[in-house]
Amino acid sequence: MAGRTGRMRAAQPRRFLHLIIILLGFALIFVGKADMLAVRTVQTGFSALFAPLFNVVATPVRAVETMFEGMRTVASLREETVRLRAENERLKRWQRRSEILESENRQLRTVLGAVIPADRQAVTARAIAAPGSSFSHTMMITHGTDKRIHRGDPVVTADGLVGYIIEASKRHSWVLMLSDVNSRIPILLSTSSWPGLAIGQNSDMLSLSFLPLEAVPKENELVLTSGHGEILPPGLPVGRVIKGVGREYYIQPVVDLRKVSFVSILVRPEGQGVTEIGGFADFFTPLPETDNKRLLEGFSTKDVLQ
Amino acid sequence: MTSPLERPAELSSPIPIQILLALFGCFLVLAEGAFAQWKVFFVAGPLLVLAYVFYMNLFFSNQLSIIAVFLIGLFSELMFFEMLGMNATALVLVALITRWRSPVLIHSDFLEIWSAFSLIVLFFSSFKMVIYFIAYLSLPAISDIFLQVGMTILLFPIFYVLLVSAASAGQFILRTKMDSRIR
Repeated sequence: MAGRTGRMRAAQPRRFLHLIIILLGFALIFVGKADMLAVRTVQTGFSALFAPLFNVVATPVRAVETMFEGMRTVASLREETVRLRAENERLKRWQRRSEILESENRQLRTVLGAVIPADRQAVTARAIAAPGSSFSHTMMITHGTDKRIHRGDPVVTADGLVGYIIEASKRHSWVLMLSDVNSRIPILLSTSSWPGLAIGQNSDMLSLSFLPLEAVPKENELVLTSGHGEILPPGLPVGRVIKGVGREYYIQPVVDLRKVSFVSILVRPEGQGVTEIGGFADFFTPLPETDNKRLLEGFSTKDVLQ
Repeated sequence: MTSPLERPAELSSPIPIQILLALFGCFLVLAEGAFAQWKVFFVAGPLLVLAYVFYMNLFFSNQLSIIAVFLIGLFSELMFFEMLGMNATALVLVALITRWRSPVLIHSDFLEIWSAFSLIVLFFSSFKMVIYFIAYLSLPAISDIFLQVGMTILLFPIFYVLLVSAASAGQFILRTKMDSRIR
């Protein structure tokens, strides 16, 4: 009994000490929560002091991790090679795909800035068949009547006129290019306003014909569609004048017809017939009274050029 | 009455051993931090110090004082910018609970010790979570805490074997040293 009482007496100061330590711990929590500058300074200084020691302890631990990492790498080397090969193949495919897309993007940009008359809507299509011989300068494009493409619709790129639709099925259409021998495009010269006809020759040049006798086309003068016949809208760039021998003039198309991949077809809005096209009037100006020698009425291309 | 300098040296004093064990605890704090650098232990490193405090208070309660436990906890807080006092208090409570249960557990088999340790880990984490909630009125990522608790419980057998081996080696070295002194 006496021994037990003695043990209890001896344990009392120890319990008191434990209680003090626990209370000290809670006090520290409050002090820490107060976020005092002194506490933070002590913490910073302390961790900075022991950081080198920590680094020493951490070095072998890191080394072990590195070793395991190395072993894992060696173990999975074969698997890694197979994976890398497959990845390489996939990347090569993606590279090819990206090259294709880049080229397609470049081609699409050529039709992005095409001049679209107010009374037309542009339908972009891909050229799927280019002229295979010099006997026929036509090309097949995607889209047809399902996209409201009809015969006579002009086909353009950002540079200018490519041709016009001669046949349209439901999903495909055929374009008669400017350079085809059957192509006849009513034009006018942009600065002198002389009217004429651009006739295809199945070559890279068009013949500039039916010019009035007094007309003197300038070298490199821009040639635009006149809108006569109301098949093609007026003001579409066709080409530039090149002087031939004597009174022969040629037109170099502004569009490089060999590189056409994407085109815009200027279709009529839904419900609008051919007769309702009114763009012709926008470019028509009567000739001055003093200058009435021309056989055909002149056109002002001032609006187009602006 | 002889002066302290004239008295014979106290060769069997437990204080050097206690200091060494406390320093080992501090080393474990650093090791715990180092292990956290492993990807597998990221934000869920095993609580080595807790296992050490549990083991020491279970089998060698006289060798690791409560003050030493408190200081180890404080060292961990200062070293890794944890909330001041939280870890230290939690470790002290763990040490006291272990000491209270040690008369029963010391004669138990390993599975019972493991179960007791699991409860201790849960208590330790819960206590810290409560303190954290009171201090910040929010809870940390519960999933990370559960992962750490699970990891600590799962790895306890390995750590237990290592500690038993270290303790046996230490006891063997001390006994050899004492024997040579007696001779």
